[in-house]
Amino acid sequence: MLTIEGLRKEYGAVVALQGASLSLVPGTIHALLGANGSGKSTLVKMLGGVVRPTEGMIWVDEQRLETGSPAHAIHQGIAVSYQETSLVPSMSVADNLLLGIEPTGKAGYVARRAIRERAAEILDQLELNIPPDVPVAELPTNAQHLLEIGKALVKRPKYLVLDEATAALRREEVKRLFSIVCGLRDEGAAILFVSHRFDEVYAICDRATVLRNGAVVGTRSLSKTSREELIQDMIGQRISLEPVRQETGNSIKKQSLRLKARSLTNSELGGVDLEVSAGEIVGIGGLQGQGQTALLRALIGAILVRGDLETEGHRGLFRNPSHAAESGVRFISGDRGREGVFGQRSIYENIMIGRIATSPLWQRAWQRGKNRAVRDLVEQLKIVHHSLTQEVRGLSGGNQQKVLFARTLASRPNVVILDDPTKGVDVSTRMEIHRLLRSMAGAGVGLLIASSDDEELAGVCDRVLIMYEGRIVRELTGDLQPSHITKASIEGAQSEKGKGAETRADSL
Amino acid sequence: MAFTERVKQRLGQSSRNSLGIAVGVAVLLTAVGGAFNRGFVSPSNLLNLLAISSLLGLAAAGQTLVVLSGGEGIDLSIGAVISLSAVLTSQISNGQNGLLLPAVVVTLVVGVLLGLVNGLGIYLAQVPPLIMTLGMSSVIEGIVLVYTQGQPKGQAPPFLAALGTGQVLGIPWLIIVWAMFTLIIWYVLKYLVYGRLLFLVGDNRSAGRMSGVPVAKLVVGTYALSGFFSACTGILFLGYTNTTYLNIGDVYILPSVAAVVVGGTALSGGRGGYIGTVVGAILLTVLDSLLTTLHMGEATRGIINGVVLLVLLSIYTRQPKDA
Amino acid sequence: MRTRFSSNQTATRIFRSPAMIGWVLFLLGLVANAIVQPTLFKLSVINSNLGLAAPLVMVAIGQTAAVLAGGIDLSVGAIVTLTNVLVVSLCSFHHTGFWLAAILGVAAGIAVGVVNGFIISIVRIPALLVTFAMMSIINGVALAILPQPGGQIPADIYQIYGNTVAGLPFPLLLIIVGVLLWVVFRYRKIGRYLIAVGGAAGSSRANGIPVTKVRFQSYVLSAMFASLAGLFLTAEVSSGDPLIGASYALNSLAAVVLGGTALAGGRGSVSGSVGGALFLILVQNIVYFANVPSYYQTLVSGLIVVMGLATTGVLYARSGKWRLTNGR
Repeated sequence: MLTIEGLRKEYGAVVALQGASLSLVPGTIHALLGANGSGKSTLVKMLGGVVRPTEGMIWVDEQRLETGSPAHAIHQGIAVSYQETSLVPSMSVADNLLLGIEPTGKAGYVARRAIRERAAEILDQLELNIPPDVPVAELPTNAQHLLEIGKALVKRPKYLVLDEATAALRREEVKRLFSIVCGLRDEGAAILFVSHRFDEVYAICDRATVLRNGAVVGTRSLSKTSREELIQDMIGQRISLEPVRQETGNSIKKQSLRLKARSLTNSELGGVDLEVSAGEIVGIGGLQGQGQTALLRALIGAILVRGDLETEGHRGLFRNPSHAAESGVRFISGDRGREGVFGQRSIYENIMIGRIATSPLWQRAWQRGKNRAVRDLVEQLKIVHHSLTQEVRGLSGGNQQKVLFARTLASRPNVVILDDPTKGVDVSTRMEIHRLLRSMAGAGVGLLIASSDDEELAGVCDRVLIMYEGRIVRELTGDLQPSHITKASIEGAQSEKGKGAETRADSL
Repeated sequence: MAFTERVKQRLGQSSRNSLGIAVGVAVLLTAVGGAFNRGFVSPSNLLNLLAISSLLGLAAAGQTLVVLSGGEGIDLSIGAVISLSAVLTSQISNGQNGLLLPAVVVTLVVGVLLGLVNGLGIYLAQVPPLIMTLGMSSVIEGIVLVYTQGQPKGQAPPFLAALGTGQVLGIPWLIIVWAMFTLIIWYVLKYLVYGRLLFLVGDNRSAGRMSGVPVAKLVVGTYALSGFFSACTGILFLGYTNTTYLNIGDVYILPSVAAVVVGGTALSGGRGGYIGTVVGAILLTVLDSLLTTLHMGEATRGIINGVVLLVLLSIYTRQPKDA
Repeated sequence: MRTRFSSNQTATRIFRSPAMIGWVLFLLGLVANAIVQPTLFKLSVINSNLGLAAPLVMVAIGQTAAVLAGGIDLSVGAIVTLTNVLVVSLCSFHHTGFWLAAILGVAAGIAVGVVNGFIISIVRIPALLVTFAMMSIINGVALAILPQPGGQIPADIYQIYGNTVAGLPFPLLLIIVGVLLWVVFRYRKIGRYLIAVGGAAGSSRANGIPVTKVRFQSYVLSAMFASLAGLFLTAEVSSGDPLIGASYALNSLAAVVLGGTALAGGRGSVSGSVGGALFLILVQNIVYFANVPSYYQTLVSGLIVVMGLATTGVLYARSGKWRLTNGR
């Protein structure tokens, strides 16, 4: 049995976790739930030894775990699959799988053949059909996440921690993962399962511990707890789970066209046509990795593409994102940390850049009136902060996302293109963002949103385009239901290939 | 324990505090110099120290911008550009005031062009800045050799020499020129779009690109500016020394980087500023002069310079622990 | 869009591997050199060329270790100098036997690496700055040990260095020994961990790899190879010079980059660096034997190197998949 006692972590003045306790019982699957910033990841990292707790301790089978030492945690049979993965991109699949636990042969040389064999074994178990000597950087995201899980499994852990392990996986992959995890449980391992998805939690977990603002709200037996009760534990207040679309109604005001693309083609896109009108929110759905990201990037000129493009006052493809921005076409990347925020710079600067990014370089940047405008945006979006000069990296994920929206609003865009706008954002911020999207549309902006979340697409979009293998295969309008979008995504695959989606996923 | 933690955090994180430390150390070194030798703190010697600092300070101006621009930005070619600029100005003007203007124009244009080549190699061909600017140094040194046939000719026109060594109201012209440059650079970094974007792009280049900043123009332009400042330094250096010889700029390559870092600009880009570099340049000049005053040989000077640098950097560039 | 993997990928991977760039450049350089200098393949010429090349090759191997682990070592040139002046002054002014002097010289170099490693990995100061300051300190120390060029090592030592053993040039044997020494590290856990730490330090830590220790070791390795280079250089020139190593810091970095190793760390190879180092030596040769007027030599060799660097960079940018910044 693994017991956590009063774990606390402070980062300067910020308390990430305030005295969390829970225990993992062999032969059970334990869920860890909580909104963003509730301290789940901090707890997971302490279990893995990556983060050293300020206070508190961890007991493994009556023995005290030396905290802050990943090597020791691994030695004690704890294996963690991290949300942001712990792979080395430049190393091969096999080398990553056995990283840190390489078998050595005579004279201390690493036994490379043994590594390949062990790796092949675990790849087989995961039904991952990839050669073990490919560098991890060349794999698609879902395969990388599967590898991260495989890396934990290869250690044959007594305690397995899965942090948002399913977030990037396809449906069939989740199913396969669950059968492996349940097998481990039956062999007597204890599993900590961290997830946002209630379906999955109810499908495999026995008990659930809910964290809120870094404190444990309680541990419940799942068979006696409803979804609503868990949600209430997580957010501490009742919220309506009503979709936001009703606020502005369904009627699409056919106004002027904001963006018109014709036959966009490159290695990932097979001739995409699309139009976005003023005041319209167009969604892009489909199974994961069908060229959605490439389409968004092609539109703003971030990757090479052939075809034709038309926006207000501009005809032709954009040369680069800056060129697109000059024409009022703005992009919010789904990769907030790498392509969104300027972590070491202030909130003020992070928002202001929306206004000055395309100004002539020798112009004056700061003016008093603009200062006021930034303050108003921060108020309007309810960005939680203590000072406008505060570094953005100190904000929570949801607030960072709001800063990106404030930046985009400050730029007074004609068209906004968004990639997964609520990725890794908690339930209430998600609602706020959805409302914001509607109000932007209400102000005449044309929006194009790609999302892997069909509920989100159904909730905010006027139309949804379904992509498959780099083409738009269906358009859904009218009364949008998440299930329709999901169905269309899978059907799109079938009508195109004449085969099931599973076949494709298996062959990767 | 809590207190030392807090002190460490303060020291580690705020560039404003490292600026404070640099100012403190510079004053301390001056005081030590004064204790050993009264003449060290005489107004004329202090002004002289400032005048010498001004050349390093100008050489480090471009370095500051390049380091701020991120992407492991660094410009090791400034030494070679300074040498070439001094040689160009001296040979074209040939000691005549009338030819000074064309000489200066040609020199500045060449400096900017060489900076552009650096920027294009770094941004388009993706050569790491350290290596690109190093490679360009040897190319530029080659150009100097070819242009001078190994023996630089000419000298500074009287006007330039007056600028390099003369004074107005007891204050060396060099200091006044440097002060003007400092004011302009400070203003550009603080108030102009270029400056603000430089900090942001230096912090996160991909985010800059995705938010619509013309990153290519900005980064390549910054290397061109570095070439411009190096050319200015070369011209003023000629005025200061009157004649020139090969590779005079080499002495500025590493001190310019040191001045930037001692002034609290992060080598990873996006944080810092030119005022820090100004203090850094003064600190390094005072230190060197102090060691000379104390009759230290070249060997000891090198050792002490290194140790002081190491200690200063240990105070404020310490990385946070991973856990 | 779909990731396809086929069996001939291994072959393409070898051809696309970054080390190839270094060796292609080397071969091109060799051909060009052979054209302008027909005597290139005479044993004595090979011998003298390798004699020149061996020190740079050694420094480049050590530099590769530091760079692979995500760092950089600017103090290698100073370490070369330190070993050189120490060995020479011990031999000629203190009547120490050559081999004892050699051991002391190499030990001094390694000690510098230990200090570097300590400050970088345990005190946690950026490597560029530490090794930069260390360069200044060690150059000062070298100047204090031997203020003027001079001194002499026993004649039989530099005669061995310029000679052949069993028909093979002696410097070639030294290069082979250097590469073998690297191989001993590369195929143990330490070699793997260098690459892991340089590629993703956080991930490495999470997997239980002793990141601090690995970083520390990379600077000790780098210093060890640099001081061996200093020893070889001493055998080559046979006397001491307090400025002798000045060019090695930056040339070794150029060799590493030309050999396709990423300065950001985590990928690359020593074999590429060896190719890059040999290419740099060949460029000097080519310019000299092609009768380039003496004032033009620096310019021409500089241009060749810059073009080589740009080619390396463009090839890297082309291979695209590595560029995670513009990910999918």
